[in-house]
Amino acid sequence: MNYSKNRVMNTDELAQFGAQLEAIKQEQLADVGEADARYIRRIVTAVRYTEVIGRGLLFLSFFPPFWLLGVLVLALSKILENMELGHNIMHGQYDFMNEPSLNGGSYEWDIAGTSDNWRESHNFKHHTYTNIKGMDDDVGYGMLRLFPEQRWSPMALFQTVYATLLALLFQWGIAIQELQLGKIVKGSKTWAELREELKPVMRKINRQLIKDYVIFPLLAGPFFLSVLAGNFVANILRNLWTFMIIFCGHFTADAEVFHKSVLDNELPGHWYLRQLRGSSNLKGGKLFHILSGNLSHQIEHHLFPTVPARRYAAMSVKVQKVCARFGQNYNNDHLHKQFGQVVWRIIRHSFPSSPKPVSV
Amino acid sequence: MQSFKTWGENLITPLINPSQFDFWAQQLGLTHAWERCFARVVSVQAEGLGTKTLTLKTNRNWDGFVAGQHCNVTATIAGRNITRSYSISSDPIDGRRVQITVRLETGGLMSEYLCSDIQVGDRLELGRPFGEMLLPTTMPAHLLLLAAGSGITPMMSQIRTLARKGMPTSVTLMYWEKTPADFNFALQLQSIAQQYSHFNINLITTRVQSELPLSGRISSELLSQAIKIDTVDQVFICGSSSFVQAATSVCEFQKLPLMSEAFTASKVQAANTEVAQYDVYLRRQGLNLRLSNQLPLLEQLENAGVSVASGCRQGICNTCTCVRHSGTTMDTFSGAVDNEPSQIIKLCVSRAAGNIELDL
Repeated sequence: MNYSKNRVMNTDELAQFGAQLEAIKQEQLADVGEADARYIRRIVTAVRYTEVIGRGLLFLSFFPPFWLLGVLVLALSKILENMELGHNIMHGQYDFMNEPSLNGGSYEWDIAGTSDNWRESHNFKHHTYTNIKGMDDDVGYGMLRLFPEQRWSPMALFQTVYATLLALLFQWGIAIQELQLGKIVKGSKTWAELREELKPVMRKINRQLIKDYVIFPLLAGPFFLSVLAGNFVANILRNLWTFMIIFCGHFTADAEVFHKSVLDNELPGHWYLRQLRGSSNLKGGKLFHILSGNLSHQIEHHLFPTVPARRYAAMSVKVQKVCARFGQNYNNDHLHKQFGQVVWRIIRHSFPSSPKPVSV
Repeated sequence: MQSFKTWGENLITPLINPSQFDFWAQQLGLTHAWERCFARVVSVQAEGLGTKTLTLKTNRNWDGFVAGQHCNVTATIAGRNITRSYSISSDPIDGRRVQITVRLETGGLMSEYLCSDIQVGDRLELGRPFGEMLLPTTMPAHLLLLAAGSGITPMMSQIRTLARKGMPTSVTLMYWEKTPADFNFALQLQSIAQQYSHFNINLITTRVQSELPLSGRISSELLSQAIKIDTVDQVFICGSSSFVQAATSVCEFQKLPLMSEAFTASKVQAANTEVAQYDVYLRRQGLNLRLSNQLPLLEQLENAGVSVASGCRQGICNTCTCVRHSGTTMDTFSGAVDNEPSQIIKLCVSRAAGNIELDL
C-alpha cells in the first residue's frame, strides 16, 4: 500500500473527515428535485432517440458511411443507457421521483448481465467493501492480478491476453461475475446450485442475443449481415469504453487494495476514507463526464452513490477541499494517464511482485 | 407452452418493451401505455368555493369503477410523482371519461396543483379503483346518505347512477358544509330532486346561519328534523374522520345499519425525539407490528422474523428499498421527516416517526 501521499489521521480527525463528507452529501440531498428529474428524463430521451437513429442508419447500410455512423450512434446509445441511465438508476439516485420506469429496484438495463445480479455484486458488495481483497469481486474480476497483495500464480503470466479479452467481452464478464465460477473449481459450489443461478442469467442473455443478432438483422432483410455486424461492433465499442472507465476507477497506480481486517471495529469515517483511497477520477469535459455515467467522478460516486450523479462535478470541488484539509491524496488525472497506469498494473503484476513495506 | 410464451416475449420485447412504448406514446402526445393507466385532463370546472371538478379521459388500460369507489391519482409535481386518493364523482356509465372533484387545501401539495396549476391537456396517472362503500345489489327501501365536505364526491357518483336508473329507491341526502358557498353539485342535486320526488336533499351549514332550514353539526335531533328515522334501512357515511365518528355514534344509537368511509388529510408530523412505539402494517403479509422509533425499521423487521432483502445496512446499496404506502418516517442520517404517500424508502436508514404502512 502506498501511504506516502496520505497523512495518517487519528481517530478524531477520521471522524471529522467522515462528518464533513457526510455534510456535503446531506446538503446535496436536500436540494435534489425538479432539476434532477428533468436531467434524467433528458437522458432517457437521448437514449431512446439515439437507439432509433442508430438502428435506423444500420438498416440503410447499403451506403457504407451510414453503417459506420449507425454503429457509432448505437454504441453511444448503449453507453448512455448502461452508464448514465441504468447504473445510476439502479443506485436509487432517482427513486425520489417515484417513477416506476426509473425505479432502482426494478430497472432492467440493455446489457447481457441481469440487473438483479448487478444490484448484488455492484451495489452491495463492491460499494460496501470497495477494494477489499476477497470481498469485492471487482478486484481483478476473479481472474486478474492487479495488486501485489493478490497471490501470484503462473496463470497470471498470460493475464495481459485475457485482460484484453475481458475488455472486448466486458458485458459477458459482468454477466457471469455473480455466478462466481471459481467456487465450482474450488468445490464450494455445486453444479446444481449453478444451474439454478444460471436460469435468469440465460434468460437475459438469450433476450440480448436474440435482439441484437436475430430480430433486428432479420428486420433488415437483405442487410441481415451488415446489421448483425453493426450491432456486434457497437456492443464491442460499448464494452471497451465501459472497461476503460471502470478499470480507471479503481486500478490506477495510487488506488489501494485493503485486507479484510480493516473491517474489524471499523472507525467512524473509515468507510469514507476507504472509498477515497480505493477510487480514482478522470479529468475531462462535460460530455466526457456524461458518457462515463459520471463515473469519471469515481471518488464522488463512491462517497455518495445515492446522490444523483449529475451533482458529482459540483461536489468534487468541496470533496477536494476536505481532502486537502486532512492531507489526503485526491487521485485525479486524464484518461490516457490513468489508463496507462491500469495497463501497467496488468502487465507488471502478471509477474511476481510483493507489496511495498508499509510505513504507518 | 411456457417456453413458447418466453420465446414470444423474446421476439416482441427487443423491438419495444413497456417503458419504450410508454416513452414513444408520450413523445407523440398520446396517453397510450403498455399497462399503466394515464389520463388527460379534458376540462376543469369550478364547483363550490375552492373546489374544482376535473374531467379526465383515460387510456384503454382503465378497467372502469363502481360508483362510490376512489382511486389513486398521480401527478408529477416538481419532478416527483405525487399520489393521493380521490373519490370519483362521475357516473361509471361514462366509460373512459372520469371526473374527480378536488377541494383546495391550503398547503396541500397535490390539491394546490390540481386546483390551481393543472391545465387542460395535462397528464395524470390513475391507479386501480378501490373502496367498499358500494350500492348493494338488492336495494334498501330507504337509503340515507350522510356526507360532509369532500364526502359528497363518492355519493355524487352513486346519486348520478341511481338517477340514471330512474331512482329505484327512496334516497335522502344530508350534506354538511361550513358555509352556503361551499356546497358542491348544488344545481345538479336540485335538478335530480325536482325530477324524483323520493330523492330528498338537505343542505346543512355548520358554521354560518343561513336561509337554509337546517344548520349545525350532526345530532339525533338534526336527523329526526330531516327524516323519519324508522323508515331508514341503510346509511352511508362519508367525510372527515371526526365527522364519520360523530355520525357513526348517532346512527349506532339509532341502531341503523351503516357503512362508512373517512378521509384523513395528510399532515407532516414533527419528529418525535422521545422514545415511542408505532404501528407498522405490512400490506402484503397482512401483518401488524409495533415498532420503536429508536432503531431503523430494517433491524426491527428482521428481529420480528420478517425476511427483507438487505445489503450494506448503511443507506448505500439500495437493496432494502420498499414503498411506504402511508405514514411518516425519519431519515437516520439527516433527521429529515417525510410522509409522502407511495414513497420509496430505504429500510436500513429509516425509522418510524408515526404509524406506517409498508409494501412488504
